[in-house]
Amino acid sequence: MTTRILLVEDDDALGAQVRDMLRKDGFDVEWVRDGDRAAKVDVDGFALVVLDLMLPGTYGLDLLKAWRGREIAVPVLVLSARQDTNDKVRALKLGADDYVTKPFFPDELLARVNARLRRPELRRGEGPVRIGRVEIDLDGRRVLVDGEPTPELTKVELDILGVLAKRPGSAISRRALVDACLDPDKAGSERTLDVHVSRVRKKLGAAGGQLQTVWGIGYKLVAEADAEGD
Amino acid sequence: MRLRLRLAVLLVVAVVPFAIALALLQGLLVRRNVALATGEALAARLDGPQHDRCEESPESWPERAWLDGPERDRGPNRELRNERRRRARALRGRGPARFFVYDASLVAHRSDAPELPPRVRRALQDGDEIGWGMVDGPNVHDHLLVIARVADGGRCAFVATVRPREGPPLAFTIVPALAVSVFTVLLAVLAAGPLVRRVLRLTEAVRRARGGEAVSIPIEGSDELTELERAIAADRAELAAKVDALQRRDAALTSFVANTTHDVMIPLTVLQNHLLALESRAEPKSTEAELAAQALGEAHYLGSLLQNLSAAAKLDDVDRPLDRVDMDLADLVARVAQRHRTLAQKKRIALDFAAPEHLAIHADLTLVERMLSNLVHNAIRYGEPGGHVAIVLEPAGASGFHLEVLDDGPGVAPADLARLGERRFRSEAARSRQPTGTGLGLAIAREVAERHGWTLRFEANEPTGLRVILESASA
Repeated sequence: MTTRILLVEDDDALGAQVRDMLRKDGFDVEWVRDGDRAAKVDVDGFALVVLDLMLPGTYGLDLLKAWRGREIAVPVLVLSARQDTNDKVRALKLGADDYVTKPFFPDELLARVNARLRRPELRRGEGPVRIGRVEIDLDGRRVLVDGEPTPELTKVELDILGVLAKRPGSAISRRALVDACLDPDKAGSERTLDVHVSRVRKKLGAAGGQLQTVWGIGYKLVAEADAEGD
Repeated sequence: MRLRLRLAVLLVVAVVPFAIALALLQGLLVRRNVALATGEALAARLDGPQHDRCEESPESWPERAWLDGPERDRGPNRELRNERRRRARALRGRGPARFFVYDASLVAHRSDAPELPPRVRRALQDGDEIGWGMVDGPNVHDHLLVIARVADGGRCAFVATVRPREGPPLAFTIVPALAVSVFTVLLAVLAAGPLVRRVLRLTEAVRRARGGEAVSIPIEGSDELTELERAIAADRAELAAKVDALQRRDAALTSFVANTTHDVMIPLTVLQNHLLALESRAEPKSTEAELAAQALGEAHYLGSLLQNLSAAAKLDDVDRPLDRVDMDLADLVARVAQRHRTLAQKKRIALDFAAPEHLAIHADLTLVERMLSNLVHNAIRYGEPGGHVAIVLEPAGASGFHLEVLDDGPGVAPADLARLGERRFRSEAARSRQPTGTGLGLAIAREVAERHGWTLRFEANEPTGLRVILESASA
């Protein structure tokens, strides 16, 4: 069964675009063009509502207030365009889950929608974590690449890999890694960290490309090594 | 109270010495009249046989008969009689009078005669007929001495009389003067009371009106103060009308900008998406694809400019407090990075960020998002293809943060670094798109930081590019 999304947007061109981009991403979209009609829709049947605030008829914030007043817990993503009245702040206070400011690119809206609907759950300390070809078993203090154990990692190296594996795909700053992994008594510097990271990368062997340097920030562990990593 | 105090001091300073001077002058005039009358009487009564007797035995003169004489005067001329009686009374005075005889060179015949005051002595030697002055009795200057010339020479040339001073003592004259002064001052201060209270009411009304309260200026009575009250009331009414007109115009303008912004954002979103579609259909790296990507950048710039205008309008209203809410700065960093990712990809710029999972701050969400968007947009806009932009957010201290936006673009000349985001550049910046990367966006970023009590610094990044550092106060 496809995921149903209710789109409340009065602008024809924008509404059509949002409907199309959501449909393209596999969602079943029902589009309502004014507030009064949106107020009559049974919102409980939808997985998410994309709500424009400036609507003819019932105003977006009033719709939100009414839904939350009836204890309808459907996630609501607000489309905001006004800077002056802090519509989105009021919407968040009224129980909106997220907002996207106009003008937006499809990617941003889709990312927000997906984040609301299919947030990947990452559990910590629950057995080994697998990221691409790398499998990290923090409890067993060992790392496998393509199922084969790597040369033994030192405590600092394992800590670095552990911190990166907690948030795969996210860049972690050198400062954060130094603070989390290096001994503060031994005057751990960012240069020391770089040395440790290059050793980890070497020990990962064929999967070394998954541990990427992020310009200006630090490092990230990605599932697939690509050409952008340097 | 100060006005009344000044009035009282002024009255005391002016009235008291004046009253005392008047009292003293009155005493002086009384003594002078008494002295003149006494002198005349002496001279008149010492003619003929009495003067001969005086010449014979000046030490024992006068006899009692002479003193009592005029009482028994039974002259035929009534006027003359009255005149003589008057003189006798003047001679006797109110107290016991004593008489002394002096020769032509003003030497007394009796040893108990008072010493003549030098001024009196000189006046008589210069030819005056009558002299008078104060001499000491039991107390200093408590007796009046009057001396009259009764002959041009001989042993009985001058006759003097000494008697207790007439009239009340000086203190008795000054006390009523002081009493009158105090009464005057009290009366004046009391009379000034209503006036002072009116001034106070007027001041209070003007002060409250200045604080923005709708207060009517009190108009009382019909005097000069009333005129002042009327003038102030008229002035305030005119000012209020002007302020009201300005506020209405300002509100209309703000609302117009907000509505226009809102109305433009929708077609702008549509336009961006059309351009994206156009670009994806064009041959990769073709002119069409390049043009579509460029147009996309311009569309984004337009949206950013409009949002910055709204933010500037909000920031210009200094009296309006920030709409602070509890927010997650880490989430905002991710959001802003995501929002600019499409744009960065089109320019082949790698945009990355690092942030802790959560970083709670209490700030104006709209303004902080605008600030961060401006910093990131600026870095992308002036970056070169193949370049990098990085956002790094880290906690600092107990509740602070440290945020950096780095790029490896062309950067800014060291001399211009300190001037980036200066407020006075804002109006010029709004009208020109400067190639150095300064503009409305950075000025807004600095103002947002200032209003939150944060610091925003611009540094050169090594080996090239710009490093923008935002720190909270507790960082």
